[in-house]
This record gives sequence, C-alpha cells and structure tokens, in this order.
Amino acid sequence: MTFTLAELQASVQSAILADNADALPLINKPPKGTTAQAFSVYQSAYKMRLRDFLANDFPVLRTYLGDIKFSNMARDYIKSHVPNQPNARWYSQGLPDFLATYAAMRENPECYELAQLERALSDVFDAAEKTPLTLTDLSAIPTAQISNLRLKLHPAIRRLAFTHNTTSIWSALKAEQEPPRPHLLEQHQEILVFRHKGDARFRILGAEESMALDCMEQGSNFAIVCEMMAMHDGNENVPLRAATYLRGWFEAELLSDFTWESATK
Amino acid sequence: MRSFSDKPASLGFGLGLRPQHYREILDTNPPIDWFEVISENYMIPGGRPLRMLDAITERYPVVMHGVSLSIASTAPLDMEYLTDLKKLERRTNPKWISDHLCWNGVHGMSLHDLLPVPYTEEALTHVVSRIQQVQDFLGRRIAIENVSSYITYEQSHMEEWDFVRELAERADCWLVLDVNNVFVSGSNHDFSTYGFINQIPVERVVQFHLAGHSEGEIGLIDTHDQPVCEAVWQLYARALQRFGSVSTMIERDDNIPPLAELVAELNHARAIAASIPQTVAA
Repeated sequence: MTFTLAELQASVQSAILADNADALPLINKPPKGTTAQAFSVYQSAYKMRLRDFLANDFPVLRTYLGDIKFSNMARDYIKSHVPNQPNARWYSQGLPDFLATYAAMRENPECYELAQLERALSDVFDAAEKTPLTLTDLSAIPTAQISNLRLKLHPAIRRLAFTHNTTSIWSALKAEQEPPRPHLLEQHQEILVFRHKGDARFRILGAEESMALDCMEQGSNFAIVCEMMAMHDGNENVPLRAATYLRGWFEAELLSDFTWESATK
Repeated sequence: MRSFSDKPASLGFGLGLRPQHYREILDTNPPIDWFEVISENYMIPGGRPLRMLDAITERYPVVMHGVSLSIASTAPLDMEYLTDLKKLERRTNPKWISDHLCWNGVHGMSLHDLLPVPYTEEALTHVVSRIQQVQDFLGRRIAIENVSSYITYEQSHMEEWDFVRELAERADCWLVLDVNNVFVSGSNHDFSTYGFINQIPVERVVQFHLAGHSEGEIGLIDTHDQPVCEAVWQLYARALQRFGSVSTMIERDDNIPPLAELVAELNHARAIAASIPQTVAA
C-alpha cells in the first residue's frame, strides 16, 4: 500500500506519541535488530528530549524532588503536553499550571511555587530588551512634578505570591544545603522577580512596597501612591518612605518609562 | 526569479557557540575562525544570550544553524518562525543559514526531533518547493544538512545521496555535509560512506559538520556528546580530498568539555586538512 507523504508523517508522528507499533509496516527491516527496535530510537528520544527540556528549565525543582520523582512528574507532564512550538524554550511554560492541579503533588504545594519561581526567573532572563531608567533620569524630573509622576515597570519583571516557605527552600537548594521542611507561612509572601545587569534575581517585598508597586502598575501617579501608603502604614515619614522605594526601583532597573503631566491638565 | 550570491569562501575552522564558553571566548579571543550558533537559542525576546551573541558577532564570523525549520513537513511553513529567523538574520548577519533535511512534526505539533524523509519523488518535489519558498522569503540561499537516521521507509525508491543531490540542484540551495551523520547512517543502514560522499555535488557544499556519536542497542546514535572518533576523522579526510577547503566545525551539544579541549580537537581537524592536497574533484 502506498501512502502519501502527509499520511506517512501523520502515521509516524502518531506512533511516536502513542508509543505503539502502528507505523512499523512503513519501515524497512534494518540490517541489525528488528524494525521495532529501530523505530524505538525515535520513541525513546522523544520522551528523553522533553524530559531534558524540563530538567534544564527547572533544575532546582529537580534537585528538590530527586531524579525518580522528577522523572515520574515529567512523564505525566509529557503525556498531557504535546509540544506545539518550534522553539524548545517554550515547552516547559505550562509546568507550574500543571503542578497546580497535579494529583501526585497535591500534598506539596511548595513544588508548584518552586516551579513558578524557576519559570519567572527564566522569563525575566530573556525577556524583551528595554533600556531601564537610571538615577540620572530620576534627577531630571522637576521636583514640582514628582507628585504627577507615573512610572511603568520594565518588561523583565514578574510578581508572585507564595503561601509556603518556598524562597527558603529555593535558597538552600541553590547553596547545595539541606532545604528546610515545607510549611505554610503565617502571611503570604509577595515576590518580585527581576533582571539586574543581565542576571535574573528575586526578592521578597514588604506589604507596603508591594502595594505601592500595585498602584503604579495600575497607572496611579506618585501622589496617589503616597496617599495609599499613608492609608496603609500611617502618615509618618510618607515622603521619605516613598522616596526610598523610588530610589531603590531606579537602582534595581525595575522601571522602563515615566511620564509627568500637570495635575491641572 | 531571485538571484543569489555565489558560493561563500571557506571560513576555516569553527566551533558551535555554547553558553558555557561565552565568557572565555570574550575574555581570551581563542584561535577559532568562526562560530555556528543554534538559531532557536537566540530567537528569544532579549536578555544576556542576545547580548553575548552581539559581542561575539563583532569579533567572529557567524553562521546560523536551525533545528526547527521542518523543511520536509507537510504542515504549512511556520511564517512566525520564519519571521523570527529573518529578524535574527538581520541582527547577526550570518555567512549562511542552515537547517536539516527532516521534518519535526505535523498537525500543529513539533516533536523536537530530526525525523527522516522517505526518498520518493513526491517528497523531493515537496522539499524543493519549500526550500525555494524559504529562500525567497529570506532573500538568500539556505544550506540543508543530511541527518543521522535509524530507520528507512519501505516506500523509498531513491538512495539518500541521490535525493540530496537532486534536492540541492533543483532547489538551488547549499549543503552542509555532516560527516558524522554520513558515518552513523552508513553504519545503521549498511551503505558505503565513501559512496555517499562521492555522489554529493562539490559545488554545493559550504560546510562540514564533525561530531561524536554513541553505540546504541542496535546501531549508532548521533549524540554529539563525545569527541570525534577515528573512523569519522578518516571519512573527513576523504571529504577534504573530494570537496577541497570547506568551512569545518565541531558540534558538541552534551557533555560539553572546557573550550581548550574543543580547540585542541579543532586543531586536529586543521592538521588533517593541512595534510590533504587541495585539489577539488570535478
């Protein structure tokens, strides 16, 4: 029986994905071994390659779980996620969402958070280029216009909220130390993931700074950010607190654009 | 009909650019004539990889080598992928762009493997047409590489080397001759590797690939995680006799050693090339 090229490709792909023998009639018997053994090179390579993509993109999660648990998790992810992007860079993007509902790790929500953190670090590492604002840019803003200042966060920024001591687990594993036991935090942690001088980093945000960043992201001007800070943590030293955050954001390359419009406009 | 430039001159002896070696390359300017970059690794929005690539392209000639063009797939050409490829081409100004004679997937999927093509007239016509479309889109010839394979199809009625030769001539494209892939496929399918090389048109080959492979259960596997073996060096010497001075590079994708080891391996390629009289077969 003759197959068209399209039929042959569909049949071979299907047999690789389903790991079955349906495409073997299309294949010649090799000089050594059986047709099934020859075809299994592609079936095995498919799974191994995707597992390697996951292991490369989530090295800390892999260390935390160990090889066996990680491989079992990868096997289940691969079964439910056929790659549909030509660039391998994007294959593992769905892993955090997968872990959010993955039955085998229902008792380990820190794994979902570790995956979120590793993905965010990868995302900011190669996020779009945009020249970050500097302290020189800040000094160019007329003092009288500071209250009208609106700031835009750099594209290489991700925000996360963790309910477990995931950052402590991540830091211990990165330092090749025994990680602490996972536990629920009394209060959730706001995490800022960002790129600084080409490196992907993260830090835990205080509640006030997190709220200030939320306001900015929503387009509020600096006067409103200060008002919200006063409501949040009291009136004492609001200008100093706000200026400290502002300086820190410029120094950490968190901002990419600003505008200041007269409040009377 | 678009006209393309003449066959590029040999770049000498190059290596695959790998992130593990960025810093050393930029700090020490090692004696490597050129670099081959994996296109997809730099088809990303931004960040350090692109900055490193920019810094290296300022100092060294670069060629782009892709793994996801899927030139033999019956799925429509991925125009988003091609647009990103062209964008990277504008950024790096490569001496040429290459990818593999293979398909990666159909029906919206990409299996991230270099799946072999049946050597039929239908496949040949299809691949030729796709290469021409890609060349027209990029405004330049591309180079197509022979892959390692572990199966052959029952319906193939041409030999691989005849398919490659016909493809290059009908599509008017360049070829990357992967010497290791010829060796691996020759061993797996029991054909003469010298016979393969003798059938490849001299005027089409712009680049040689050298790499290591591993012993699998029933044959050789193209793993790129080992040094080039003696049998592949011998086949490389035969290729030099036929094709003359052709840009040569060593691919190492796994178990990546210190740069000095790869430079030493590259110097072995230089020594073999220096020992071969430079007469090109007609």
